[in-house]
Amino acid sequence: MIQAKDLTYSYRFEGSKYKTLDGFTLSVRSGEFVVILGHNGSGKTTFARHCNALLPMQGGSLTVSGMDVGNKSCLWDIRRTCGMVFQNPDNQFVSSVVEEDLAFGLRNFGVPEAEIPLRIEKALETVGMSGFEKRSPHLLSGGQKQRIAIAGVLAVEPEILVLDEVTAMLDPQGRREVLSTVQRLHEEGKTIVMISHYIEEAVLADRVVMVHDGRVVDEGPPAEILTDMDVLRRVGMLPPVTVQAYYDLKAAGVKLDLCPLTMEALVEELCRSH
Amino acid sequence: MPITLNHVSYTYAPGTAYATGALNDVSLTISDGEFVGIMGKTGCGKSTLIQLIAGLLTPTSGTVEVDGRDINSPSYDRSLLRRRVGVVFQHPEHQLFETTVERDVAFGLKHLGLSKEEKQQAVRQALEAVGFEYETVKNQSPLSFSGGEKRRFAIAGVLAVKPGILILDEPIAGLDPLGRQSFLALLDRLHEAGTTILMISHNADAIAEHAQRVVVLEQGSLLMDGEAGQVLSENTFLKEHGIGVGQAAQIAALLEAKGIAMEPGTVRYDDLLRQMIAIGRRLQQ
Repeated sequence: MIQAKDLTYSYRFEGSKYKTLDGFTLSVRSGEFVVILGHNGSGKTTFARHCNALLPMQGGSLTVSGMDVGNKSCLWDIRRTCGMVFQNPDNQFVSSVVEEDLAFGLRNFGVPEAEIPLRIEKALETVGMSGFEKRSPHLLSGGQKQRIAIAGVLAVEPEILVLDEVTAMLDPQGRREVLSTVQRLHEEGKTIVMISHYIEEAVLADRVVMVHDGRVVDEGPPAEILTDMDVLRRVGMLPPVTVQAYYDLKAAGVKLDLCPLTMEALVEELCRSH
Repeated sequence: MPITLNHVSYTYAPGTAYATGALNDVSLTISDGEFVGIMGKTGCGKSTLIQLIAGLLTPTSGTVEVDGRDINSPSYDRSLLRRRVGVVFQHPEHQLFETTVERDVAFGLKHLGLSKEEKQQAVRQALEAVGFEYETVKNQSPLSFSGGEKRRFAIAGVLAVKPGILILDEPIAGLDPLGRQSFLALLDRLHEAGTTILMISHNADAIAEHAQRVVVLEQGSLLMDGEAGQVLSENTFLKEHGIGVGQAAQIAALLEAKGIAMEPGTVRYDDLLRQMIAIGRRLQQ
């Protein structure tokens, strides 16, 4: 679905070059839920912005659903196929009415007027925001805003969703709302690439990708990657609290049978540690 | 008492059709050297509260006192407040504007009547406090750094004035895990050096590990106010009110549900680990 090979990218600022992608190689299968982790400045967002051609290609190759991102004639097809949601919900609205905001993307892509209300209805239903058609997005809570932003992208019916730290600005309730929406979309078969700083969110993924210094340094199922202290240390991430507890307990002579990724699993393991 | 709020209410756009009550009869006293975590859902009045304490908003009714003086009284010298209270707003990195790091960090010192050497010394200390080497960064553009680094420069600009009271609005949102950890360690160091700290955060883990006292707001009123362990271990109550529960507190509750007695107020990782080791050893015997 997404094939990136040896991507390189440098930002220029006041005559200096800052390399943010340096041989970034990753492939994402159709229907997969991938979480990308890495510290500030590791290149996660730069990669995400390549996926729907927001940045010009500088080196390497990238195809999205078989289309070459370097080929300008594919631009609008790529953006229709790969929808993107950003960190700050307040920066993503173009209208003061929810349904108008959702219609904006559809009109841009030339969707027939008659079809627009149906698409909006369906997208709002998917994110659990039916009934908010006439509301103002600016007066909603953070989690609601972010779900409207996701609905705006869903209405265009993309195959792939790229979510760049969409929960970073939300309160715990908003985060739960957005994460359960993302999980539902994944279950319905959407391909999802989610960038996050919260290692707990990576537990939900099919595959975790660790990015460091502009390239992928490790990838695999959460149970493998998130329990490997060496990998985590190398990319400057802290382990989930349950993994930290597993190693701290082990150092104190309390050996659990397996390294837990959820709090429930930790408690289960601890209660039968004999 | 450095900060006292007496029956403070605040209404946005009073007397119009858009009048919205943001704070409703809040009374609160914060003592010298406290580290207070402020929690609550989006729109509960947290940011309004800190803007009132910083004197950026005037209460619709009630009084705000800093060091025993009403900051909204006409005879009060506001420059005292500016020196005493430092505020780090959400995304402070958006407020950088100068051409060099040194000039940006020194901006707040302009009208304090300091000599050139004193200013330079204050900038050096502030940059070192947030983990930079003064000589390396002073002549660079603050805008050429990463998001996390920019945030530290912006905070250095507040610290340079050496405020006795530091107020931070969601200072760790958007920082990566190590960035969060080193930033919170900086707050601990400032706190140990005597700074009074008020930190707004949705991150219950960060508040549990660092704050001594927690204030929870709901729809403009005080919902809870107490010692951190006491407030943050009320898992069921907090969840019902849409407030985040920390991971250590959640694990402690799961263990209790298994019939294991946990110490009351287990909200910090070290306390949890100590008890889990004891549980594990007991079961292994």
